[in-house]
Amino acid sequence: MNITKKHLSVFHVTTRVLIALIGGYFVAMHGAILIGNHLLSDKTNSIITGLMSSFIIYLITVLFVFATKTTLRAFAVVLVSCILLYFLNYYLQGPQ
Amino acid sequence: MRPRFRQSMSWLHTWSGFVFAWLLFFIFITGTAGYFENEIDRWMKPEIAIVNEPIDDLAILDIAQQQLTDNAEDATQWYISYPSARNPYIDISWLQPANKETGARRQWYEKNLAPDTSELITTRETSGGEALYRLHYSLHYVPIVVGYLVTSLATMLMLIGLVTGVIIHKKIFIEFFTFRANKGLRSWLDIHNIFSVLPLPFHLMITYSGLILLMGISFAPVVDATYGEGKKMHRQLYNETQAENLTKEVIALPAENLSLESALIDAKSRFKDQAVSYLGLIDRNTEQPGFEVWFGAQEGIELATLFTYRAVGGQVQIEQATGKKYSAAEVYDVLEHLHEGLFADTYLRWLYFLSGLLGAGMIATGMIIWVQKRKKQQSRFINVIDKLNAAVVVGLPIGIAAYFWANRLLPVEMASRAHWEMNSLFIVFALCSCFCVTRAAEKAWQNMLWLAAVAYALIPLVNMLTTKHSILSSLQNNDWLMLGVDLSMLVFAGGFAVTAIVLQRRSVIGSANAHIKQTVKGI
Repeated sequence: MNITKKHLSVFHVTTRVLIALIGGYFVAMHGAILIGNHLLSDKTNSIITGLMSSFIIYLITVLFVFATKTTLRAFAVVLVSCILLYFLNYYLQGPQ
Repeated sequence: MRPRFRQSMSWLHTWSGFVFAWLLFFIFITGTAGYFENEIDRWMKPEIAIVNEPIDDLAILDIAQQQLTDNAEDATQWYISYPSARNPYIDISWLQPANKETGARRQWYEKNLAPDTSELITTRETSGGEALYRLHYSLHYVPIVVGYLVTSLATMLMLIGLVTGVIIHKKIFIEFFTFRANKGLRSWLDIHNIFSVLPLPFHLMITYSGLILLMGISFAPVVDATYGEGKKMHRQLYNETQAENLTKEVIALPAENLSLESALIDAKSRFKDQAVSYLGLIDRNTEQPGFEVWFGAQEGIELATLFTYRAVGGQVQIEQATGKKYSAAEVYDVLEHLHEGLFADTYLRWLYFLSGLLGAGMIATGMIIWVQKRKKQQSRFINVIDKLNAAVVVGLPIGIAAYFWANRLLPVEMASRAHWEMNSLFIVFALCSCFCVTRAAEKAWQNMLWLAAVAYALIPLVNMLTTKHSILSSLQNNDWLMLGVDLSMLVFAGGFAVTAIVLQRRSVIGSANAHIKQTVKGI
C-alpha cells in the first residue's frame, strides 16, 4: 500500500489535534503549577491566579499548534515548553 | 504567513465548533433558562402562596420560627426567606445533619409557608427551574464529575471557536451591520455573524467565567501539585480561598438577649430603608450560634449584604464581610457573579436571557452553515447531520416543553415524580431525534417547528386545565411570575410558528424556481 497524500494529511491533522488537546493541557497545567508555586509570596493568591490563567495558556498553545508551519515544530515547541516549565518549577522550589 | 494563518484559524474555527456543537447548544439553552429559574420554579409549584401585600418582618419571623421549631429541631442551620420581587413568598429551609442510624445523608429541606394560615404548604415533588439550569454543567444520567469534565472540555472548544471566529472575521465592524437577505449561504453567514458579534462581550465573559467556575476540577492536578492531594486538601484550599475580610463591631445589646428578633430589630434600625431578604441561624449546635440578617444589596454585582450577630465573651458583636481576603479570589468572584447574574434586575435579566438565546442561535446557525457548505457532496452522513441538527435545535426546546407538560400532567402522588419530569424531557428529545432521522431533512425542520409551536402554545391551556391558574386569574391576583411564564410560552410558540411559515414559503419558492429552471433547460 502506498502512502498517499491523503494519508499524510490525515496523519498531520490527527497529530496536531492530539498535540493541541493533550500537549496543550500539559503546558497549561505546568504553567499553572509554576504560577501557583512561585508567582507571589502569597500561595493562595498564586494558586487562584495560576488556575485562572491555565485556560489562556491552553488557548494560546492550541492556536499556536494549528498556526505553526510544520507538525514537527508544533510537537517540538509543546514538548520543550512542557519540559522547561516542569524543570523550572522543580528548580525554583529548591531542594526538598 | 498571513493567508496560511487565516486558513488554519478558519479550519480550527470550523472543527472546534463542530465537535461539541450539539452539546454546546444544549448548554446554552439550559443555562439561559436558568436566568429565570426562580420564575420557572414558581410556575412548576403552583401550590405556592404568593405574598402580594407587605407583611411585617417580625410577624413573618414569628410564624417561620414556630414552624422551624416544630419541624427542624436538630438542624444545624435555619433560614427564613422573606418575600422579594423574584421570590414573592415566605420560605423556610433547614440543614438536617446526617443521621447515622437511618443512614440519611446531610441535606437541605425547603418549605413554603402560607401567610394567612401560617401552615406549611405541600408542593408537588419537582426539581423545578433549578434542575433545568443545573443540566448545563452537570448534564444528566452521568456521574457529576463526568458532567463537569465534559462541559469544561466543550467550553474550552467554545473559547477556541470564539477567539478563532474573531481572528478570521474580516471586517468586524462593517459586517456587524450587514444582513443580505435571500442569498442562501451568505445570508446564513450574516446571521451567524450578527448572533456572534453583537453579544460578543457576553459570549467571551460567559465562556471564560464558565471555565473558571469549574477550574478546581478541570485542573485538579494543579491543586495537587501546589497545595495537596486528596479531597480533604482540595476542600481546605477551597475554604481558604473563600476567606473574607471581616469587620467586627461590638454593640450594646446584652448577650443573653441575642435572638433572631433582637438581631432583626437592631439590623433594621441600622439599615432603615432596606428590605430584609433572609434571616439565618447558623452553627445552631455550637456554643456561638450566628444570627444572620441579609439585606438585598443596593449596588454593584453582589447579591446581598450580610450581618452576622454573635455572642462572643459576654458581648454581642456584628460581623460584616467587606470583600474577600485574597485579591485573586475577588477577581474570581467578579467573574462568577457576572456569569450567574444573580444581581440582575428585570431589564438586565432579560438582556442576559436574550444574549444567551443569541449564543444558542450562534451555535445553531454555525451547525446549519456547516451542513449548507457540504450539501453538494450529497453524502448520507451530511444528510443525517442535517436531520439531527433539526432534532437538537428544535427538539431540545420541545423536550423542555415536555418537562413543563409533565409537571402538570404527572400525578402529584407519583413516586419519583421529579425524576420522571426530567426523564420526560429526555424521552421526548430522543423521540424527536428518531422522528427527524426518518423524515427528509427539509420536512424534518418544518415538522419540528410546528410541533414546537403547538407544544408551547398549549402550555398555558394545560396550566389552566390542571390548576387554578389561568392567564386571567394570574392577572387578577397579581401573580406576575405565573403570568410571565405563561405569556413567554405563547411568545416562544409564536416564534416557532413564524419560523415554520418562513421556511415553508422559502421551500415553495425554491421548488418553483427549480421547476422553472428545469422547464427552461428542457426547451
